[in-house]
Amino acid sequence: MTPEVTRLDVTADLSIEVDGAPVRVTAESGDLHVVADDVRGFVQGLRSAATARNGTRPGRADVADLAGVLADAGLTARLDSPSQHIVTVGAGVDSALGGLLLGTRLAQPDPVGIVRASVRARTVGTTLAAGLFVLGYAVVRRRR
Amino acid sequence: MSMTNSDAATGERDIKSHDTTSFADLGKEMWAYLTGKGAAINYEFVDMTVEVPRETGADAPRATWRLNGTLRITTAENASKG
Repeated sequence: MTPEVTRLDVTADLSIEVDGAPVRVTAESGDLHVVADDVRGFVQGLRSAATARNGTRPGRADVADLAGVLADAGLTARLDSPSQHIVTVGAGVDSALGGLLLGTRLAQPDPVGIVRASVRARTVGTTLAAGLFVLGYAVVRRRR
Repeated sequence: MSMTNSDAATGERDIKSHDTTSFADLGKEMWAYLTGKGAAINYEFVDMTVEVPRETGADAPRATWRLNGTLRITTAENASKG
């Protein structure tokens, strides 16, 4: 017997500003597309809001939870900067790299996009983190 | 600023009439409602401003989120997990 789940269809055409930085959200059927001019600022805003809610900073487990919820609902979300793909999470995603870096195979990061978004942010910390992403990606590629 | 909320099952209703204390509660309520019925929920955000705290505490600094546009969520009932 297979468990019954509720699949969602989402249609969206939203313009969001996070402290003045534009974020565009569109959705058709089960595919959500988020384009943020400042990806790093947008993600930090989400993390800050989540942290403020209960005092706990979200981590890899929360990314996995989010990806699982999206997949169960039949939804796939894609996060892009204006020029680069950053990550895809949810239904239909199966990524070894996501399992290694984000703790879930339901997330597929694009290391090149993450690096370029980070360089635009011009912070040493983020660039170092992006370097680790690339390093992890290289390790996975060598193991294949 | 205005925000409207309507659904196919009950027609137009005012979101302010609910005893919702936060957006997290609102999300849970929406989820429970959606998963119980083949409902459709339509939101239209018109210059809606939300101050989102960056830290815990009443005096925490806040980020300003501004929303415009439409969001529609419908359910496909009796879908089975593969």
